[in-house]
Amino acid sequence: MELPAYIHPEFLKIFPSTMTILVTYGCTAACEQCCFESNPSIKHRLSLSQIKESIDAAKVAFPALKLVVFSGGEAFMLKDDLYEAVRYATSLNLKTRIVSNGYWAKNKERAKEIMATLHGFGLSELNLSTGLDHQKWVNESTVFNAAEASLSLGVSTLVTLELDSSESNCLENFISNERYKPMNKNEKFSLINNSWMNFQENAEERQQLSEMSFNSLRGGCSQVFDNLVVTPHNNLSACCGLTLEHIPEIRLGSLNDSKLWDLYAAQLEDFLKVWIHMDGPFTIMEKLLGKDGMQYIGEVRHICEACAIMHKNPKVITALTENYEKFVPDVLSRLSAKVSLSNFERTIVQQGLPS
Amino acid sequence: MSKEKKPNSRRRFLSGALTSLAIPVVGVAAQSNYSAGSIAAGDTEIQSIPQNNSLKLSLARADIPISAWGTLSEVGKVWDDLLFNKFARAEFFRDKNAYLSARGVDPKLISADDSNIHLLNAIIDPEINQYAMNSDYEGFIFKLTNLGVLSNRDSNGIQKALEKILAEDNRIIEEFKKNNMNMDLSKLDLNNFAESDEFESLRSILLGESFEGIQDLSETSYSIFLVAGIVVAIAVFVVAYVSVGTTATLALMLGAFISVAVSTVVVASETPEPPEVEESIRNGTNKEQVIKPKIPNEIKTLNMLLDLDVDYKLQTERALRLAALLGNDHIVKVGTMKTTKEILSSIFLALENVGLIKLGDNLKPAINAAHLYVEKVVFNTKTN
Repeated sequence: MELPAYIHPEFLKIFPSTMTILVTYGCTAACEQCCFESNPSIKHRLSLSQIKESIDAAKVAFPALKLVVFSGGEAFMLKDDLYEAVRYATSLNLKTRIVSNGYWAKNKERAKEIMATLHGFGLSELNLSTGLDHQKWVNESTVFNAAEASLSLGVSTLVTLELDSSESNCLENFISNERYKPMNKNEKFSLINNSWMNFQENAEERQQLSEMSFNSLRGGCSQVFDNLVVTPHNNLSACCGLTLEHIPEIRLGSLNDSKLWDLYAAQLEDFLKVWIHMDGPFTIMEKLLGKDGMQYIGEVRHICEACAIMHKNPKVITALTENYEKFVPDVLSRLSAKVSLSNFERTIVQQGLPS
Repeated sequence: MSKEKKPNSRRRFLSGALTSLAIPVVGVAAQSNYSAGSIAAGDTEIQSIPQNNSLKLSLARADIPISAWGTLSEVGKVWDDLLFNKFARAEFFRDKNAYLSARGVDPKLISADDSNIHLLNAIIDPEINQYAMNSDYEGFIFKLTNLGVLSNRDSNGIQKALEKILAEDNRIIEEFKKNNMNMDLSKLDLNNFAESDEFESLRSILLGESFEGIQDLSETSYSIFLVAGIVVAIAVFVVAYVSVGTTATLALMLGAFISVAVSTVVVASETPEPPEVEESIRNGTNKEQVIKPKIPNEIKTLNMLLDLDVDYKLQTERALRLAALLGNDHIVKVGTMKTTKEILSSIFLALENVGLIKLGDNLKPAINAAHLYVEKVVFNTKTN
């Protein structure tokens, strides 16, 4: 397994650190603005053997791998297979995270049982998605049940709340709930208020990102190269961003036909992937089109939305294909510098400062 | 090629998003080969890669001279040698051009305007290392500025951005009023403020029952730190507002943040620990193990305001990360403290300028008190 010569030889000591397995696009909910349009009618899912094979392949090929994320759709729809997948990843000395809407926690006692099983199998973190759309299907109380069950076992728990609309107050309700106070004192608990990207024209407008959040959208994409994403159809994807299924170029190929390593390594020969990793879609468009590039960004709320525009806008596509070569030396050498620095940090952590 | 499900009427967000920007978009027909796999039925064979991926910008086929590829292959090795091999480093500093020329590396590639490259250059710089070894923060920053790693850092950008946000949105002022916060402190002697009715009112609103925990502080430090703690708490309140951007949650966020502020006062005896190694796994970020200064939560909250001025933030992070990389806790601590003070100053000036608080002649003492609070309580610094 060889890297291209222009890639820093220690690259694989740094990347990828995460594998995200989208076990199914099926979901107990059918949120209007779901990026994957997940709903209960979608039955297709990865088999347990496919999941294990991917984890095995990643563990063998990628020494930097630390974390396996199980998401969807709704990961808990896999039930026992999900638990077994967590157990299996843990047995390979990998940390695990499940992303869920929390529907399985309707009953407090049952929620505790489920979390006890997962905790026993080594689950490192539970992420719960909620907010205006999600709560039409899974109520706030159920999410609290899930979070409390998780925290009671010392499992790191993150609740992600969609940004509210002008009419909704899910965030306020959540943090004014009596059950929030003790939870918020738990250092294993985090709450984030996430931007919510509309996927339909008639969607209710959500609150805008604050200026500081918008600024933070700039910069490289931390997903590309660092995240191995397996989709429910057993494809490998370059990221698990919100627009993943809307940008075909993000698909790297089928794991039914190709090896995980081959699909991953192939993207290192695609300059656009390297550039997205280093600079992100905002800066790429700016560098290609000057200040005019920013007009294409419009009222973008999410880096993934900018990425979609970059992949779809004809002017950007033309500018990319016609001009990318002149950016190659700069971007590739900066990638080498990034890996050198990360490797230096890694070495310091393990061995202390060199003399 | 496999047959895919046709795009349905729901899948219009991209064309919608693009047309709303009045930008010519690829026709729906041209996109139809790419319908999302997420909604395909289980028995549908999904196209695993796009048919004609014009955006695969092949490096193998790029029209780049062979010699350039040689240089690119060498860049990483050069950095590694400079980081890990002191003899290579010495040779490099004797004659940079000769060293790079011998390795076939274009000097432009190791001096590019890139945060990682700035850090790498600073890590290997002998003078920077000397300043770090001597725990000389001022010299450290001066040299970084001299090298162009940092420009003249100025937190005015934060103040201006904050003023703009606050001036454009009067909801926060309404929220203060709703909470009966009379912020006209200009007639008060700050040192006597702790005894005043206004203070009592503020205290009960801001601290509530948590107030009891901080009465153990010595009598002299009690009032000044309490006042300072409260003004810092107000600043944190503003940060909460700016971060969340919704008045509906203000009072609630206030409670959460103030509890952080108070607990920081209570446990202020703990000196910030040396830089810690953070495993950035939460967002699947790309840094694997990243050395970051360990700083109090309260300061982390205040530092959220750094996002208002990206350049200032980058420079601050660069300096602190470098100090952490060089293993100097003192510089990390002083740097964090200095940044926090600058942010606090920006907050107070912005609040005063937009009329949210009226400290008048008390503005400077209030800022000084807040700085003192940061030094003595948050960072537990013993020097004056």
